[in-house]
Amino acid sequence: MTFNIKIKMAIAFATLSCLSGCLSFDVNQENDMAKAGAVYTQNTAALIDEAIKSANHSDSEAMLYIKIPETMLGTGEFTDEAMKDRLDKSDAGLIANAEKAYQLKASLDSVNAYFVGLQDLVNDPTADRNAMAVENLAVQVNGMNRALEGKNAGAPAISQEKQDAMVQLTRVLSDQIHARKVKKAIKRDAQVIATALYLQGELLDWAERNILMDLSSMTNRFFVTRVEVPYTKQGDSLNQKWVDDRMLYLKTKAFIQDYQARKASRDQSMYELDLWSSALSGQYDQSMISQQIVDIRRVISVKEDLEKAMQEN
Amino acid sequence: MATAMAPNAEQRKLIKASLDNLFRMRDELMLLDMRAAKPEKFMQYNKDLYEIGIAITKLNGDLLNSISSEIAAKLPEFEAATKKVAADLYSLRRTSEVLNAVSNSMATISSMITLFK
Repeated sequence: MTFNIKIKMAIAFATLSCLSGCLSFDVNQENDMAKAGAVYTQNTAALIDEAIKSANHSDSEAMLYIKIPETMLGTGEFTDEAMKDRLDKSDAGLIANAEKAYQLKASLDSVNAYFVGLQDLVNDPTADRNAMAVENLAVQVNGMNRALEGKNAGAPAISQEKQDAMVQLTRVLSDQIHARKVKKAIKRDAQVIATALYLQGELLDWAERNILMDLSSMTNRFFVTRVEVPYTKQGDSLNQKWVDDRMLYLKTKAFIQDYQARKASRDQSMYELDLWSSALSGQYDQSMISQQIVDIRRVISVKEDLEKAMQEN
Repeated sequence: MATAMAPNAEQRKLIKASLDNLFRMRDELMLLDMRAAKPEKFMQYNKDLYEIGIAITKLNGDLLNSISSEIAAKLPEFEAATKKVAADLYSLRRTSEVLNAVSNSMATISSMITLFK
């Protein structure tokens, strides 16, 4: 190789190194978004189960709270037949809602499939794969050349330097094509996916409303039976356990009030400021989305504490 | 949200507001000590609480139906978007598949040349 060619090769390598550095495939944002979208969808699906449970539980809690004394049963609106009809009517509505919610949960699979596909697209090792394919091709070209020329074969048809340059160039070009493809896909699908996530947000809002309502009903029942009545009666049940129950009630009530205030401000941001559309157009802040999921999980955890306390004598 | 604020969205806002009112009414009723209520009052509370429960279930159903009908209408678009992303991935993979196929063919040809020499 002449000195002149060596200089040309060095310049080519330098240019390629600069290209690969300057135009590196930055997909962090797209990757985060695809991941967040999938997590949001999967969590929404999981919370639908909890919402169905909560809707059924709060309805039953209310029935239990106003349990009819034996002396009133069998008369007026409280005959066996009337009570049976009441229960049937209530059950029918709750079952129909649960069925609808499960159907909606199943339809979230389509949204999840998009985000899984987007993740695959973002994380595809295009550059590595193409670079390896080009390297293989160069090896095969040299191999074929050797096979054709046999003993007369001289230097390889594609020298090691040329091979390295081709591989490097392939890597840079593949990165560019890959990045363009991801950005184009997100831009192309932004409207559709923003709508899907908005509707999913509506579903999550329904779930959140019912889960929170159940906690609120439970808290009220807990207050009356475990805090207020023992206090007004000033009997044996006003004891150390009552102190613990009262503390739990106060803590839960404060939690609910704080939650409702935060939910109102979160709803304003999420649904009126078109969060997902801005996310998809590149001005993305996923903290609010993940906060909603974290918040709902906290409600469920507080509910579990209250349920546990209710079961204790 | 501008993109999805179809009539359904406005309708859902009203349903949510009504649901919140019913939740509040149920909350307030469940703060009353029913054991202290006189029979007529108790019967009334009982009826009210039951009817509120039925109304909540009905509005929850309306909300779910509204979301469901909108999702059903958009489902073909979601699925089409997923297919397009899959096609994008396929086209990315296609380049290396073609190169590998060429390499494999060349390897086979080289072997054949060596064999026939």
